Amino acid sequence: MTFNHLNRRTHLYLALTLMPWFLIYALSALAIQHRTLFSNEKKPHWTQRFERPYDRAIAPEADLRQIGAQILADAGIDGLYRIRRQGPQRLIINRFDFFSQTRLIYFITEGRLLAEDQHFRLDQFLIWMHIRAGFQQESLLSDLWAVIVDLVCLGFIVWVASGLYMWWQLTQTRRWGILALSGGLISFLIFVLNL
Amino acid sequence: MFAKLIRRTHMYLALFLAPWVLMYALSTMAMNHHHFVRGLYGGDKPPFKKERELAYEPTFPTDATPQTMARQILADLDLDGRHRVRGQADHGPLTILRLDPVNPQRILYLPTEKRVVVEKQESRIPDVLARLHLRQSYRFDYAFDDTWAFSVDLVIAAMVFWAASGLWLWWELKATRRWGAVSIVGGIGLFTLFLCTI
Repeated sequence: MTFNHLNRRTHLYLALTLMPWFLIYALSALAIQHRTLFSNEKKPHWTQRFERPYDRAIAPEADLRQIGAQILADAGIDGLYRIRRQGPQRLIINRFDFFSQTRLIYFITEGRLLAEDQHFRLDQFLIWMHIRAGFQQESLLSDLWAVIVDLVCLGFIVWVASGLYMWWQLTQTRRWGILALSGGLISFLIFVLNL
Repeated sequence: MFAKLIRRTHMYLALFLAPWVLMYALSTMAMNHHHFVRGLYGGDKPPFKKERELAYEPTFPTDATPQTMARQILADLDLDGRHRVRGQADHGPLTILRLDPVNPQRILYLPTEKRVVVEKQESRIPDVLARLHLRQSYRFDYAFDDTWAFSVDLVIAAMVFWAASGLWLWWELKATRRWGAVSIVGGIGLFTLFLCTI
């Protein structure tokens, strides 16, 4: 097998394997860029699941992820989650998967826990897929998803590099190729320096 | 002829959009390894530091809003472009964040002191990439900014085209059909597994 052959096959098979991610990133970017195409509601709709008294002391130096896990367990909810403080008196925990979200708001001084659900909506689903990344979750599968995100990024770089090599091999396309490449590069630089 | 057209469009479009593709790839990797990348630069985002300060006493229309005032201030300072503004129109200070992907600036307008302070944030490559990645949508305030949004649309359309034309080009190569089908089924299978489990 020659390098040329290997280059072509890598370009092709990598693209075919990563096609679902490739398409989901394209469609989700469309949902982010043109939200009104997907939904008339600007903000997602939350429906209350429960509101109940709740009391848990939170030390200022406490590990927030651990606190979040405990509050979720107390509420009988499990899954991947993010947690953040909204001011000194409020903790917000978002339990999420690709199809739905549950938001727990712990009002610390009021001793109250509010749970709300956000049900499936196509634009939200696409956006959640788009933004899912990172290695912060205590879940092997979630970390594997982050590895795939890296792989897709590497795929982009490999497609550009292998594509450049294939283009250079086609001598009859060099002139127009140089025009396209330099046109893109100059346009991009003009944007970066003037936005 | 049709096959050649598809091949050439696939290729020339990719050559033109290569800088966008690389920017999205590198910025996504930086976001995926957010903590690590941040650690490389010693922690949190750099603070804004004073760049210049000048006396400033503009005349605003009586019905001026923070948005129109911000626009006038930026134009007077030769910093016009996409921005966000915080503050009240009536005598309160205004804080304008000039959303420049390479050199973000913060402009403080202090009407009672009749001056403006221009602050600048140190530029780090991952932050520049992230700002470019996150810049989207048509705001219709600045034509040049909307042209960038159009380029984002072009990347989206190109991605769909690359996927469709790539599938077609693969199917034309009979020798690669078997392993290509294995790759597609494997990719869809893995994607579905993730979809159903996390």
